[in-house]
Amino acid sequence: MNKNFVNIVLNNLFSLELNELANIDRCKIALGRGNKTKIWKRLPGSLNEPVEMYQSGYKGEGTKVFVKGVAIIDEEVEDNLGNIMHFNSNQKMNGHIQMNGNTERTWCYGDYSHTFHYSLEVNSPAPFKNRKFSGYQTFMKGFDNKPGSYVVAIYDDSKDTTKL
Amino acid sequence: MLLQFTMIAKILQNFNSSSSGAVFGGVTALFVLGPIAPRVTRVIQVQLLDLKFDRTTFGSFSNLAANAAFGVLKSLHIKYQRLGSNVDKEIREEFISNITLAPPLSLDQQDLINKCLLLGSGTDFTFNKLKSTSRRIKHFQMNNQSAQKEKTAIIGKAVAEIDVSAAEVLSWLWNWTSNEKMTVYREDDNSVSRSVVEYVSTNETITETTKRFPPPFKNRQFVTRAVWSGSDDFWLVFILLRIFR
Repeated sequence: MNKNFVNIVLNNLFSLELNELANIDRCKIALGRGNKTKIWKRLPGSLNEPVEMYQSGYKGEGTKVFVKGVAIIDEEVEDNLGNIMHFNSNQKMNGHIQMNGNTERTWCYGDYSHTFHYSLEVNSPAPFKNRKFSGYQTFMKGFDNKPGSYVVAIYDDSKDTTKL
Repeated sequence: MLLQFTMIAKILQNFNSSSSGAVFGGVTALFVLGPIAPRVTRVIQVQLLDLKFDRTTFGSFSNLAANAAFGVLKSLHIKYQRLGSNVDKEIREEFISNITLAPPLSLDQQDLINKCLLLGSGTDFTFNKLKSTSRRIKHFQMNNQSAQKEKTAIIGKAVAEIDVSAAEVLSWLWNWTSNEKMTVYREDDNSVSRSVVEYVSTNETITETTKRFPPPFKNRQFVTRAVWSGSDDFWLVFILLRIFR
């Protein structure tokens, strides 16, 4: 699947639609990208982890967790993109079943599109109900004026206007 | 009336939870993937996760949820991890091949370089030679008093011969969190953290390192602004250190 994505899908993509671009921009704004006043603190106990994990205070409505992670991955950028976009790979399905049992995990991908729909249900410890997430992932080549880079934006159903 | 109320309540409940009874959470995230070398990628994930917990229970789940949010990055790292020395070499080679493509220095960067150049070349400065344990490395030191004679800074200088090209040395210095350096950092009991705070441009980064100090002193975090510049056969690295806290 990953090989197909890198060699076939990426070379035959439809052009990015305006609403896809708008959704990426909306994510950038919601996450305050470029805001240099935000203070990120390392997660306790994560200093020696290969993935740098940071958390920042969230001052908006409700109780949300604001995190940032930085990792150096020893593989081509397109392979990493394929791995992130392929939501229901065997590896991810196995991990999901181990963690959450027989709960929902779906993936709907339009051929040669920049966007796919996903949904998953994760177990919550008792007495809390399980949590369900449903939304879209959109990717774009060339981010921050770097032609070789990619960005993947993830957003909930309610924020989207894209129809697959 | 009661029936009507129950129906409205049920509709509202369905709006906030799925058919399985799960509560809808929310995720907004960005993954930025930037190539460092042909087979090395830097992935930055920024994510806002809403688990719809109330404020009383949120505290105990906050760190757990934050950790769980990095599942994708952790699995990518494990899946594609290769021998560190090979990856470092690929990053250095890519850096060297792109040196000539670096953008010109900004005025601010040039100003920083001029200030640093002044440190070692001014006529007012005389370095005293220190004892060195290595035949190939020479150490020097001098006291630099401010114009108002309020502050005195000690400036150190080292001169060494390295058996590789200048570009190779620069590429080694520039990779602040190389596998080699991170291995040394993890084995050093006095090191608390080491990371790149910001990739400003091809020739500038903001880095940080935190060192453990003996009690009663608190740990010291050094935030560093690093800028490099040069020509085909002469490379310079300028580092400005600032104690942050």
